[in-house]
Amino acid sequence: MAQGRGTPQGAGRVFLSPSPPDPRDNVAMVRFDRVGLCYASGNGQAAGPEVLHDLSFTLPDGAFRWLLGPSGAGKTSVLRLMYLDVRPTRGRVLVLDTDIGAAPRDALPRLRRRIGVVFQDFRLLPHLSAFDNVALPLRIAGRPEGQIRADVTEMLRWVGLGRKHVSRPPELSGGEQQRVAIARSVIARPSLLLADEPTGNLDDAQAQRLMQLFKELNRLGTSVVVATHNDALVERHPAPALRLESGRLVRQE
Amino acid sequence: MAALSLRPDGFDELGLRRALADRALPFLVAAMALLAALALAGWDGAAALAHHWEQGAGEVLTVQVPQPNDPAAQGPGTRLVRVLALLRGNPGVASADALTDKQLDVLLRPWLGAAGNRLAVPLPAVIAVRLTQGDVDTAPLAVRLDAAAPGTLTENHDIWIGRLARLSRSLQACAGMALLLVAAVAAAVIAVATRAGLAARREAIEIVHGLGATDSYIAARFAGRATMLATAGGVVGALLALPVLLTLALLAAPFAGPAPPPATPAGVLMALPAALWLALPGLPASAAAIGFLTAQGTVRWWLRRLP
Repeated sequence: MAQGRGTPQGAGRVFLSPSPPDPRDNVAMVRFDRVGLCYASGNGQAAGPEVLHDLSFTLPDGAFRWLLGPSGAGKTSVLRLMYLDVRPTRGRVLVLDTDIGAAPRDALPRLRRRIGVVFQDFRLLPHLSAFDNVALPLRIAGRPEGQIRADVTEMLRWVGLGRKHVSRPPELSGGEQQRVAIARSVIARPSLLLADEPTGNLDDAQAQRLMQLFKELNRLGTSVVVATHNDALVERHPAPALRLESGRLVRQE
Repeated sequence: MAALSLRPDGFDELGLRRALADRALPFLVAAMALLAALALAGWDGAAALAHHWEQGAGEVLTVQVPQPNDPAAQGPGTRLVRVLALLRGNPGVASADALTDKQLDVLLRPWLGAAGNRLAVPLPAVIAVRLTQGDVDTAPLAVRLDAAAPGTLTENHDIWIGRLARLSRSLQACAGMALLLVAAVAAAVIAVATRAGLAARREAIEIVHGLGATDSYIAARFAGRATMLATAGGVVGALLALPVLLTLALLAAPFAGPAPPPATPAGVLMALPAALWLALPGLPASAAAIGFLTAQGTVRWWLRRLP
């Protein structure tokens, strides 16, 4: 993507160079063990119907996986479990070697900082500039402002938005917002990158560039899970997949 | 904590400048601070009155001697001289002085007017007795005085002093209750404003939470904003309260001491008790503390709904 915009390839490679080996790298990145999930009903008290049933799979470290299935199959729920937005109703979910069902609540923020998420609707903060949106994970993590300035400037240049760093999301096109969202998701060099229908708002060329970016990040060691129902995209970029139907895992490659 | 200090000044990731409005909250806190200042003044005034009555007037006895110039029933001299001699010889009496005609005239003027001294009404002599301590048993003394000069009336102020002291203590308690109530209402106002801010910025909070922000990080953003607005309100309220308190202090000055303060700017400022001079700067500090603690508690409680 960035290369397609004419950004110097070397800069991106330097910026995204892998971190020193982590002793936890040998463990599974994500493990689901007979996981079930119910959302609270409208009144927030009683649990609603189960949306995921007995899901069991393992995502090895450094893997790339498609998460496939029709709308309503449970793809977003699986991703929400992975990025710690919900806890399993039953079963066990291990993310980065942490049982998220049993972990104390105050242990989760540090874990979230190691997970990057790209949402279909971007979820940018509209009152902040592109620079401040991308800088947000680093500021939350308490990085020094000097380092933040250098990293974010480099990252924005890499995604082709070096000249739009002061623009706010409403002033950017859909594709540009998507690139800001991607920059924000990878700025903290996450171990796990999750994307929920990331090409839903992009044209074909932009979608291809985005996939190149994901593959590059995966090549550099980041585990990547991309949820989509865009079959053409999957055919163009073949990779192992998890296929869901009605909240059940029906195929695992 | 070092991480927080590295954030650029004015970085408002949650958009709280619009969510926590900078007009309504300071105005309400200013009104609360003004009420708190009035309650504090009431508390201080009631405490001063109670102290004054208990310490000063509690040690005073009044003795009325009818027909003071008639001969005494026991002992030599007139009835007044005999009663004075008995009083001055009694243990526990620091001083006993008969009021002069002029003092008596001043005392009676509110009831009898300027013509009081020309009326053909036989007036008793009035003796002001100051005791060395407030708990002297005056009943035996009254019996001896009555024997020496029948009809002598000994009036102990203890009962009235006790009633007045209880009244002023009750007023003091009411002022304290009012102060607590004002603090509670201020906390409620800040809690409501914070909850409105949470509802308005829910999406931003969820995004920041999802990026790994801790409860402390998010609560600190709200608490910082609420503290700033509450402090501003407290400063405005204290400044508005100052002229009101000075006016009340000047009005109350004749009751507080023998000489009213001089009518100079410094004298006007000196009319305000030192306790209130200390309490006024405490209003913004208290508002800030209430704002900080309320916002912290409200946000942390609200955040528990997030995983």
